[in-house]
Amino acid sequence: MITTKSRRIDLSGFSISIFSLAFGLFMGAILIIIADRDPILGYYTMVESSLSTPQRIGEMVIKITPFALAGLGIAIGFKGGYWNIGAEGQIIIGALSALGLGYFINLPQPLHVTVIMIVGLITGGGWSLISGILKAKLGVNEVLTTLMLNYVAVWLSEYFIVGPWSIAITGETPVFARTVAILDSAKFPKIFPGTRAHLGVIMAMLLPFVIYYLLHRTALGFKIRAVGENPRAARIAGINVSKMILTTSFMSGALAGLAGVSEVLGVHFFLERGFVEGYGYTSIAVATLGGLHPIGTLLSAIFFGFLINGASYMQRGINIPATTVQVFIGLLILSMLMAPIFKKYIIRLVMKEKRTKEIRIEQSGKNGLSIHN
Amino acid sequence: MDEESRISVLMKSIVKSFPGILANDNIDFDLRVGEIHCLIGENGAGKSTLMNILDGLYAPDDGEIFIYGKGVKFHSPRDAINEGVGMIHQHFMLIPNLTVIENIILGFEGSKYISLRKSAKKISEFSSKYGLKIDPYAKVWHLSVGEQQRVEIIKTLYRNAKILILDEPTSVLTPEEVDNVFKILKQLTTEGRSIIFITHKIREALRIGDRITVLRKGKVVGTIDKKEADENVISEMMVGKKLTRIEVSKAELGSKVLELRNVYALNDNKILALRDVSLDVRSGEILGVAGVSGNGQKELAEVIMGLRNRTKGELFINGTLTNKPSPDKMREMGVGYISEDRLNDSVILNFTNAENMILDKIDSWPYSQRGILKINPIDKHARELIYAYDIQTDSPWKPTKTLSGGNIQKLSISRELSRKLKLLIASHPTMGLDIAATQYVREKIVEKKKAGCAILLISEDLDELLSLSDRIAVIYEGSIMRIFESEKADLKEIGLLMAGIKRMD
Amino acid sequence: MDYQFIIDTLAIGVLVSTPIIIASYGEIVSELSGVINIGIEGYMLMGTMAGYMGAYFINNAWLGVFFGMIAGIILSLVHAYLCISLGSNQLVSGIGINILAYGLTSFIYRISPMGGLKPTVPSFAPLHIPVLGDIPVIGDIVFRQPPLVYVGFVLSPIFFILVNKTSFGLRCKSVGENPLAAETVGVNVLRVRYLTVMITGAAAGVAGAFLSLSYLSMFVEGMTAGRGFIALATTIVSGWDPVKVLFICLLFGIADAFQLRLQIAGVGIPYSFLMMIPYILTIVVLAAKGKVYVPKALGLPYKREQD
Repeated sequence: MITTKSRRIDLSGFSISIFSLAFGLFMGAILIIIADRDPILGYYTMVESSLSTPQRIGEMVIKITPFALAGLGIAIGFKGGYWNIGAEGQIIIGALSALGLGYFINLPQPLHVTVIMIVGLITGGGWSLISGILKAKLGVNEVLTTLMLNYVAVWLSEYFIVGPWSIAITGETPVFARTVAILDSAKFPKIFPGTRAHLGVIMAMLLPFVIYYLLHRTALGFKIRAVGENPRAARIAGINVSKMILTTSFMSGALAGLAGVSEVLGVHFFLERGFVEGYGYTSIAVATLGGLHPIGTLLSAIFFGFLINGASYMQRGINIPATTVQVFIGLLILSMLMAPIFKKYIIRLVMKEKRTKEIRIEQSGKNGLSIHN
Repeated sequence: MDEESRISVLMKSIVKSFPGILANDNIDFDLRVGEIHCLIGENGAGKSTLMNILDGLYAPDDGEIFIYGKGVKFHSPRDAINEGVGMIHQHFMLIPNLTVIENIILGFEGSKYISLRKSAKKISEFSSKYGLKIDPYAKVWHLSVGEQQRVEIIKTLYRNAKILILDEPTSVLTPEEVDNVFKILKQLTTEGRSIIFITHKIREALRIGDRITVLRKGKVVGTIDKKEADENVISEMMVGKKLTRIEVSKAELGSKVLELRNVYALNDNKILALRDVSLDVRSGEILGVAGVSGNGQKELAEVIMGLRNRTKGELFINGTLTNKPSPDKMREMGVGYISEDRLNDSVILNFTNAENMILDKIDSWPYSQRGILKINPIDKHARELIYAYDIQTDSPWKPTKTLSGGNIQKLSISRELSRKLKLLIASHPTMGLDIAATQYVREKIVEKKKAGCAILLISEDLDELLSLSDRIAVIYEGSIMRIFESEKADLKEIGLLMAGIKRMD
Repeated sequence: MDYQFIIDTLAIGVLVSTPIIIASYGEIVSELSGVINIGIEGYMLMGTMAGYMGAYFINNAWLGVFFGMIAGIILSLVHAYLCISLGSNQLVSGIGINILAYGLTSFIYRISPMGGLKPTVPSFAPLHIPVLGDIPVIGDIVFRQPPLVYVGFVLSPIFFILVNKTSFGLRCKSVGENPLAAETVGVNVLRVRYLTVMITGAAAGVAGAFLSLSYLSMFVEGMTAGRGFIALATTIVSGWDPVKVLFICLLFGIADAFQLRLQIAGVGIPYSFLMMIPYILTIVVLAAKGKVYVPKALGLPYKREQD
C-alpha cells in the first residue's frame, strides 16, 4: 500500500505472526517432551549458546542470510502473483554459477566477486524465467514447472559435483562427493573480524529495504502488485500483464540465485551433495510468516535462522535427533496457517464479553459509573 | 379459515446484519397460498437478503419463520427444500460444465447410482406440462439465459416446491419471454403454490402481483393490494420522492470515432459470439446497444477495448485501423471502459482508493516521474474525484474493499470519466446502483456526450436506452439485427428483435 | 536395442507408473471438488514409511499397505482441516505438510528400532496371472507384475464410475465448479471436500507403501523423489479423467524405465542427465497442454454464509 505522511504498520498482521511463533514454539516444546527431554532447558540452551560469543552470533547471522535473500525473492514473487516454489532450484543454479566462475576464472577480488554476483542474479533469474515464460506465453501453472525445475537443478548439480567440477580434477581423492573450492579472489570479504560474517549478510540486511522501496514507491512495483492482486483489472487498466509476469519471475529467481551465490562465496566455498537441502522450501514458510512483506520477511528470516542455527546447540545440549528441526518447522508453518482463525475466535469472544457487559450496564441503569472496555 | 387467507409463509421480526450494514431491520412478511406477492425495492433495499434467509442460505440474527403455520429453523438450504421452499436466484445457481439433467438432480439424486433416463423422463413431463422447453442432455453453458432460467424453474418443481421465490427473473428476458414466464407463474398458483416475486421494476410488480410489499433501506415501508397500487404510490414508497427526468439534447454529430466492419469474434468457450458486426459511433453521439444479456455484448465491449481478439473484420478508432489492439493501446487512443463487472474488472479491492483511481495512469506524469511514484499529485487527484463523485469514504488511502458496493462502482466509473475520452464504452453503467447514483452516472454520461465524446451504451434497461441514446442497435446471438433512430424506435419491434424475430419489411 | 530390452523396459514402465497412477486417482477426485493437495508428496512419503514399518512389525505386506493408507489419510486430514474448515491458502498448507512429512518420516525412522539396520521386510512377489500372463507380448509386460499393479488397473474403472455415475461424483464435480450453487440445492460442500481429500490421502498413502514394499523393499528418506508432484501434473494434463490419466502415467513410467535401462546399459550420457528426464518430460507435457480448463473453484476456500 502506498502511504502518505504517516507510516502505517500493519499491526494485525504482525500480531498474527507473533501468535504463530508462540504457537509454533509451544508445539515444538510438546515434540521435545514426546522425545522425553526437557523443552525449557532445550530452548534455554538454544538462546544462550547462540548469543554467547561474537563468533557464535556471526554463525547465527550467516545462517539467517540465505533465508533472508531467498525469502525476499519468494515474497516479491508471491506479491506479483507468481507462485515461485522453485527457490530450491534457483539457489542451486546461483550456487553452481558462483562455483564455476569462482574456480575457472581469475580476476582481482572486487571485480571477481561483482561479476559472480551479477551472473548469479542472471542465472537464478533465468532459471525462474523459464517458468515465467511458460506462464506468460502458454498459461502453464508455475507451481508445477518451478517444482520440476528444482529436481532438474538438483541433478544438474549432481552432474557437476561428481563430474567436471569434482575435487578429483585437482588430483585429490574425494572422501565425500564435493567440488573444487573457489579461488580466494572470489570469496566474499569478511565484515566482522573474528567471525565468519560476510558481505552477503550486509546484502541480506539492506536488500529488503530496497525491495520495499521498489514495491511501494515505484511504478514498476505498483504494477507488479496490481498484477498479483487482480490480473484482469490490471490488464483492463492498461498494464502489460505478460511483461509483469516475466519481470516478477525473473526478479524472484534472481534473489534466490543470489542466496546461492552468497552461500558459496561467503560460507562454504565449495559444493557438496545435498548442500541446499530444504532451504528453498523453508524460505516459502519464511516469506509467508513475514506476511510477504520485505521487512517482515527479514524479521521472519532472523527468527528461522536463529532457530535452525540454535537447533544444533539444542540438539547437543539435550540430545535429540537432528531432524526434529524439520518437524518443528513444519509444525510452525501449520500453526501459522491456523493463527488467523484463532484470532477471529478470540475477537468474537471479546466482542461477546463486550456486548454482555454493555447490556448489564444498560440494565443496571445510570449510577455514576462509566465503564469502558 | 377460508381458502384465501391461508398463510403459507410467515416471517416475523427478521433482523440480519452484515459488517457495516443492517440489511433487514425487523421485517414482517407474509405470503398467502396461491398468491403472487411482489417484493419491491431499489438495489440494496434488502430484498435478496430476506429471501436468502427464507431459502436457508443465510441465518437471521433474530426473528422467526413459519411455514404453513409450523415454526421452522433453517440451518442450510436443504432444510428449506425439505419444507417445500424453492428459490430461483438472480444469478443462476447452475453448474455450467454439467448437463441440464445433472444440474436438476444434483442434491436430489434419490440413489447412490444415478440413472439419467428415469430423471430425463420426469423432467420431460414437467417440460411439457408447463411449456418449459429444454434439452435435458445439453450442457448448461450452451444454453441461452432464458433456457437456463427454465432449468432453474424445473429444478424447484422437481423438488416439489410449494413456495417459489424468484429473484429479479425478468432482467435477462425478452418481452415475449417475460409474458411466457408470467403465464407459467399464474398456472403454478392455480395448483396451490405460492410465489414471491422480487423485482425493482414497478411496472412488472403492478402487472403480476396480487399484493406488493415495498422495502426501503432494510425496512418494510408497506404492503398494498394490487387494487390500491399505482406507479406513483409505489415509487414514492420506494424512494421517498418522485423521479425526475434527465434532459438529453439532440446530438451535435462529429466525425466517426468508432467503426466496426464485419467483425467476428469468439467467446471464452470458442463459440462465435460476434457475427459480422458492423456499426459506427460519431463524436457527440450515444449509440445504445439493446439485447438480452449473453448475446455478445460482453465480447463486443472486449473487442473494442482490446481485451479480445477479432477473428475477422476491422476496427477503426478515429479513422485509424487497429491491428493488434490491447487495452493500453486503446487507452492511449482515448478509449475508456466501464465494465459491467466493476468489482472484478475495474478495481483492485485490496488496493487503496487512491491507487485504484490512478490504476490506468500509473506511468503518466504527474503521478510518476522516471518510474518513481509522486504521492502528492496522486493524493490530490483522489481527493478531487472523491469530492466530485460524492464517494463515501474517510480517506483516499483506505482500502477500496471497505467501501460499499455502490461507492466502489462510483469509484471505478469516476476513474474512467475523469480522463479526456474520445470514446466511452459503458456496459450496464447503472446496474446495481441506487436511484440517486444512477441519476448521477447518467448525468455524467450525458455531460461527456455534450463535450464531444462518442459513447457506446450497453444496457438491459430499455427505458434507459430509449431516454439516453440517439440511436439504438439491437444485438441477438452476436449479430446486429437493426439500428434505429431512437425517436423512431418501436418498443414492440425492439422486443421482437431482441428475441431474434425479424419483421418482414 | 533388442526385443528383450523393449519388453523389459515396458514391463518396468508399468511397474514404475503404478504409484503415480494410484496417487493421481485420488488427486483427480480432490481437485474436481476444488481442493489441491500440494502436500500429496508428503502423504505419499508418510505412506512409504508407515507401510514399511507396518509390514515390518506385523510381518505382512498387505497390512503394511493398509498402514500406509491410514498414514496418508491422517496427514491429509491436517490439510483438510486447515484449508476446508479454516480457509487457509492451499498452496502454503501443502508446502508446510511436505516439510512436516519430510521431517516426521526421518525423525520417526531414526528413533525407531529399524533406523540404521535397514532390515528386509515382507514384500510383494510378482504375481503371474494364469491365462493372461501367457499371452505373448502383452502378458510379459502387463500380467507378471506385483499385485499392487493390478490394483492400479482395477481402480481405473472404479474411479471412473465413482466420478461419472454416482451421486457422489456428481456432487464432487458441482462443488468444484460452483460451490455456492451446490449448497443451494442442499449439497454439503465441506463434507464432500473432506471426503475427497481423504481419498487423496488414502490413495497417496497406498502409492507410497507400494514404493517401499514393492518397488524397492526398503525405506530411504525422501524416496518419493517428486512422484507426488508428478501425479499433480498428470492430473491436470489428463483433464481430470481417471481413464486418460492411466495412459499418461504409463507414458511417464515408460520414460522413467527407459532412462533407468539406459543407465544400466551404460550409454555415454551421464546418469544425472538421465535422471532429469521424468521431470523435464513433465514440464514439456504441461507446456504442450498449455492453458487448461480448470474447475472454477479449484484452490479457493469456500465460506458458508451461515458462518
